[in-house]
Amino acid sequence: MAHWDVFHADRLEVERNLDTAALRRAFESGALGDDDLVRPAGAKAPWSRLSAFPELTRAESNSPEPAFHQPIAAGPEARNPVVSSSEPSDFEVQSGDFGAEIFDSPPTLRDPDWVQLRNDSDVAFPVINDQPPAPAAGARAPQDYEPVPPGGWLWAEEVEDDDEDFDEPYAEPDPAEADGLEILDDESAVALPVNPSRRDRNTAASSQSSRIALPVAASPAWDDVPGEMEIEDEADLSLSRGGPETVEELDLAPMVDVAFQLVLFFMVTATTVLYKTLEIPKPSAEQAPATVAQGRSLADLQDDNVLVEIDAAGAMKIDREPVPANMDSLVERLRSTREKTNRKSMVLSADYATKHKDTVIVIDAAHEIGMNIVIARPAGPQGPAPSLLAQPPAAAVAPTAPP
Amino acid sequence: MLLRRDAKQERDEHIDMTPMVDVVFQLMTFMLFSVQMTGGEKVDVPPARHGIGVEETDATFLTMTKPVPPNNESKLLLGIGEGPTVNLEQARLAVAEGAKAGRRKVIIQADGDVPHGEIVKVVGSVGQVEGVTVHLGVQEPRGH
Repeated sequence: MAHWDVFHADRLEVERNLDTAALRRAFESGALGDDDLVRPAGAKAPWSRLSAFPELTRAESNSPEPAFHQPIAAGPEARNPVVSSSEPSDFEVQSGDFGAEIFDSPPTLRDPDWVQLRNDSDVAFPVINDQPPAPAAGARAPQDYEPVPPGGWLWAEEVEDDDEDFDEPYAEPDPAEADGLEILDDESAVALPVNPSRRDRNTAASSQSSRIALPVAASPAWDDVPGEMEIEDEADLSLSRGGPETVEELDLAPMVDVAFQLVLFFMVTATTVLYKTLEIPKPSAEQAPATVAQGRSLADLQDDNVLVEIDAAGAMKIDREPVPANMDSLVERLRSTREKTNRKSMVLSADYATKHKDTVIVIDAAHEIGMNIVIARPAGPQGPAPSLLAQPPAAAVAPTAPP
Repeated sequence: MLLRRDAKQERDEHIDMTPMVDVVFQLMTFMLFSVQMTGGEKVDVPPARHGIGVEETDATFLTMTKPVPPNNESKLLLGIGEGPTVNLEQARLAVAEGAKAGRRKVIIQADGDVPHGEIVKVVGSVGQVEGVTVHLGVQEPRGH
């Protein structure tokens, strides 16, 4: 009884070495369908649809074994396909094994006459040939492919996940070398068109000219490390970035740092606040009338001191001579008077109602040229005549010395 | 679309308070620095080119406010720009207490329009305290 290899189109699995009876039972039970593919067990013949073999799909009877026809216009190697004696384990696209032994075995079945398949490769997946039919038999151009009857399948070459393959142009098979088609063993599932320069198995270019009916499992790249690049769960793979982490707590570290900065600032600046002041002479403990009783009037003091007078309106006089009430004029006049008269101190006699800012100008001018200041105590609105703020004795507080 | 946000993730509605706190501290720091830089005298003391700096902790401050109508009298306050109104005797006692505490300087922050005679009376009163020096509060001339 013949044995068959069956390719389940629904789950993309190969079931090998089924006898005809089992195949029929599977078809009757619904495990196999018309779209499933079948070929002789261990044969290198192209796959064919199960519906092309009505003998296999009929109920078990004494019908003869269906004949499996070879593909039309196949080369010598295709008529005598090389069948590997070793049975592959499961369906998968494997890389070519050039060292595999190839055992010759005569074909047991023929393809149907109407089946026209590509004989230039042998892969696990059947490929639909959607290329236009050749213009004439025998006059085959390098770019033309074998005509395929409706519903037929074409061989496709293995598609490798190799970027380098896409850079190389597809080399059309040389019709003169069609007889040199090399069919590898069944494990490799790759049959390259003859071109000694293309024995490096660059099949991507040739695969571009055919359309694969079923997804092709890409062979692992040469640089893939088993188990390293695997994605455990492809369903979770996503390029979407996770959302921002929710802020559950307030980070207090920056606030503490700023607080310490403020503390340091106050520690440094708290003791450096200065107030600008003009030191003035302090009056003595003696009463003003007593001072006046000493007999020193302003006129007498004018011999030793420069007399500066300011009235209630702010008009200034130096030694009874008017002077502009501004800083520069006062400084210039006082300096010249000191140089001329060699008097190094000044008596400030201002009215009770004189504004404070006018007296500050005179005191500031005295400080600028380094003159001692004596402030005369003004008389009250209705009080006695102005008298000096008594200069303290030499043993006590001295008159204000310029800084 | 792989780049679409996962619809299962809940949107985070919480507001991060840390930047707001930082900004608040920055504003506080700016206000503190700006207030210190402008001086902020409570009274308009007369300007003067010369003068000496006296620390606040080394002096007793007396403030004489600008005379206000109807009687054009100025107030004597114990403090810098503000404080309780005192008379000459109370000011003298305060200066004496300050001298005992180590504050041997007396700064009279008087407005520029205060009569000279009033200032002389205050100076004469606080000058009776031994060991103290009297200073008139001034400020930098405008434009410098």
